[in-house]
Amino acid sequence: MFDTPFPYRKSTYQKKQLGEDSYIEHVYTFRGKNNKRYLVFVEQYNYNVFAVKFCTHEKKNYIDRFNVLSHRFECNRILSTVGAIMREIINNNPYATFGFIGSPLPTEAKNNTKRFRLYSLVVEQVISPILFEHRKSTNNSTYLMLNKDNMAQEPDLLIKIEVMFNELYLMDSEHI
Amino acid sequence: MLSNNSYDLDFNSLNYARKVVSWGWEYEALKKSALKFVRFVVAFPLSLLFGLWLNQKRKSFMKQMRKNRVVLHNVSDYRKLRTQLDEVRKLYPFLKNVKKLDLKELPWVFRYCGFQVQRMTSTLLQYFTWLEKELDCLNKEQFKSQSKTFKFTSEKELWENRNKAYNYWM
Repeated sequence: MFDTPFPYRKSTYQKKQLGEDSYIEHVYTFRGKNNKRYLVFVEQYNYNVFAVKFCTHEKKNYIDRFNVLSHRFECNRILSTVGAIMREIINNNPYATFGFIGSPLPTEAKNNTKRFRLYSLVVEQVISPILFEHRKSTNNSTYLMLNKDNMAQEPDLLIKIEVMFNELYLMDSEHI
Repeated sequence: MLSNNSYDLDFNSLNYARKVVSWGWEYEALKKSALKFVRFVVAFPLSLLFGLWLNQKRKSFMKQMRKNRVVLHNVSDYRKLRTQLDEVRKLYPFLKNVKKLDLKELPWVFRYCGFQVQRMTSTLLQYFTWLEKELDCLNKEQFKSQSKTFKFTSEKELWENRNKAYNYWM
């Protein structure tokens, strides 16, 4: 399981503005079992932080494109493809740090979403703690894989990412 | 006239019985001394040789374990180390029992050998402690932050909750 990705290709990339900050959006595409197209958006922020998102091609212009379910039952191969894309990124940029947010379903609250529970479970199985430090925020349904090789360059990486995420996603600070 | 009949049944049977018993004792004594001889000539040298061989093995293993320290370069190193440690953990109770063993309770023939087995066990336990220490750095937070927004997940936690059938992506 999680070993057979769909063939994918990099479609495009472009610089985007989000408030005062900017990021680069890399877009990858692939086709699923029924020839349905999927899009993977890899947003490259400062400090080599990459946020990974994906949706079906047909929903790409919908606001809730990351919230709805596709009901195509090919989740494990889609996640394998996303994993292959992440591997490609880390090969090109050995300091890449990854993160994702498990978007809520239309009827779901934002904390500890179904997607977050699933994706974090998968990530914990397939991404070793050798290269990445695993951190998660259940309240924000956010998962971070901090690149340990980036430690020397960015010792305050986590603080910087927290500030950046707070600005971008207006997260609530969680007190455990 | 009463004749002095030496053919006294009771007396002869007692003599024979005494002889049989004394033969039995002699046999037991012979058996004991033969066993002592066998122990001394066969078991003791064998046990001594085994003990010496174990001592040599331990010394060469100690050299190797000092020289070839495990360094976690990549995922395959990590997986190998973790699987090895999981296997070793199953043997821990047995190894600890061997370490606790009282050598005075062993027959003297096997004492040296037992001593070497104990030394080997404690060397192995030492080595496994070193291996476990290699993982310590993965169980500590490397990136520090005052805020507790992102909760750290330790290597131990990740490994325990992991389905070992999956391959690592990276």
